[in-house]
Amino acid sequence: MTIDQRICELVAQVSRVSPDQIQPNSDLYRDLGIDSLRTLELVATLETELGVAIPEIELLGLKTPRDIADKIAFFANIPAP
Amino acid sequence: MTILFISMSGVRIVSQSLKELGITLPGFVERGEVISSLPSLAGLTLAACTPGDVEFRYREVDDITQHGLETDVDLVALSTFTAMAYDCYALADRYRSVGTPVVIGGLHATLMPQEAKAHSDAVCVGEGEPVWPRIVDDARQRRLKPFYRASTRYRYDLSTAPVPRYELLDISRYNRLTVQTSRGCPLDCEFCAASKVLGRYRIKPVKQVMQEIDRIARLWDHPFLELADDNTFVNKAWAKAFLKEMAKRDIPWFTEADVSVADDPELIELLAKSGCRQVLIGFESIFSESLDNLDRSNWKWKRRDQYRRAIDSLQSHGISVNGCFILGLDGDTPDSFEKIRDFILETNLLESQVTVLTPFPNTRLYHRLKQEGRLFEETFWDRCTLFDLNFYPKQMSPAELEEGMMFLFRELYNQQIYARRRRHYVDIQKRLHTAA
Repeated sequence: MTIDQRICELVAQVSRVSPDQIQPNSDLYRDLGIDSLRTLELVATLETELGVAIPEIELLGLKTPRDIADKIAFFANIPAP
Repeated sequence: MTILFISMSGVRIVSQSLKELGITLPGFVERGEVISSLPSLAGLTLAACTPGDVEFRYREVDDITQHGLETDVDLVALSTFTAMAYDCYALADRYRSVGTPVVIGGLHATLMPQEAKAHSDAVCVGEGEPVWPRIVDDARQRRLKPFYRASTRYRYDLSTAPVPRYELLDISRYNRLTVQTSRGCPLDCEFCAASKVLGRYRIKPVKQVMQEIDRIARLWDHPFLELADDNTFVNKAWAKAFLKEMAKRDIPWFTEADVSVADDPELIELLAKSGCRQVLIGFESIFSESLDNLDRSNWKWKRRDQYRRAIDSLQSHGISVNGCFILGLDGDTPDSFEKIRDFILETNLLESQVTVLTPFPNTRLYHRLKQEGRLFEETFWDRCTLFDLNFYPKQMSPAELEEGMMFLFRELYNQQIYARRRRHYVDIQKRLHTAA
C-alpha cells in the first residue's frame, strides 16, 4: 500500500466517507466535510496510526490527502509519494 | 404567487481596531466563518408553512448585494437580528420603493415592532409558524395588516412544527446546517433577548427532531449539524433519548448548553457516542460578583465552582468545549482580564468566545442600564455586535474595558496559543483512539 492509499484510508475513517470515494486530490473540506474540528481528529488518527508527530498547525491549510502525504513524508523524513 | 425570503446573515464588528486585529487571529476568524455561513432556519421553516401553490425562494442577503434586487416576486420576507436591523430596513425600503410589499419578522422585529413597521407593510411579532399562513393569504389578497402577533398565552407547540425545507438550500455553500430541538431557556438571564421573545422553554419530540436530521442526511453526504437551541439539555430524560438516536446515525454535531450537561456521567458517555463534537457553554464569568443576579434564580452564580470539572469531564471524552465569557459585567474590574485568560488557558478550553456585555433592545439589561444613565445612546442597533461597547461599565472606564477585550483577543486567539490548545485536544483524541 502506498502512503497515498494509506492516507486516503485514514481520511475515510475520520470523514466517514467510503474509501472508494476518496482520491488523493479530493478536497478535504468541500468534498469530505473535514472542518477544523475534524482536522484535529485526523491529526490524532495520523499520529497514532503512522507513528509520526505532526505539528497540527502544519495541517491547517492543507487541502487534499496528497498534501497531507507530502507533509507527513517531510516530518517522517521519508520520500514524498 | 412568489415569496422571496432574504436571510440577513453575517457577523459584524463596527470598531475598526477590533476588526483589524480580529482578521489576524485564526481562532477569531474560524468561528466567524462558521457563524456567518449558517443558513436561516426561520426561512426554511416558513417555507414549510407556505401553501403548496406558492413559490418560495430562499436567498442570503449577500446574493442580493451581489446580484441586485429580485423584483419578479409578490412578497419579500425579511428576518433579522439586531446588528443587521438597519441593513434590513434599507433593503425593505428599496423593495417597497419598487412596489413590492415587505414583511419583517425575527428577533429584532419582535423586540421593536413599531420601528420595523416604519419600513414594512407588515410585521410578524413573535413566532412565525402560527401566523405565517395568514400573512401569505392576506398578501395574496393584497390586504396585509400592520401586525401579526402569535398568541403569547398559548405558545406554539413544537410537536406540530413542520420539517424545514432544507432542499431549498444550495448545500455546497454551507459548512453546517441547523436543526432546532427546543426554544427558549429557563434561566432567563438579564441580557438575553431570546428568553424574552421565546418565553417558556419548550422541546420538540425526539422522533420529530430525527425526521429533520434524516431529511438533511438524505440531502447531504457528509452533514455537520449545529443545533439552533439556546440550551439543549435542560430536560435530561429527553436528552438521553435524543443522544441514543443520534448514536445510531454517526453524524457530527455541535450545540449550546448550560454547565449542568456535565453533571451526569451517563449523559457525557452518551454525548461522546452520539457524535457530539463540541458543546458551547455560556459560563459568562468566573467571578461570583459578576454572576450574582445574572439570571432570575441565580443559577449560574451557584454553579461557578463546577466550571473546571465540567470542562475536564467533557473534553476528556473527546467533546470539545467552547466556553463563552462576557466582559463588562457589573462585578468586573480592570484586574479581571488576566484572570479570565489564566482560567481559559489553565482549563485547556479548545475554544473560547469572549464578547462584551450587550444591552439588546427591550431586554431587562437595556432598561436597567437606561434607568441608571449608563447607555451611550438610546438606539445603537448596528453596534449590537457583541464586540462593540455601548454602555459605561460599573467598575472601569469604557477605554479600560475595550483595551481589556483587545488584550484577551491577542492572548487567546493568537496562533501560538491556538496551536497549544489544539494540541491538547489532539492528545485527548489520540488517547481515545488508542483506547478504542
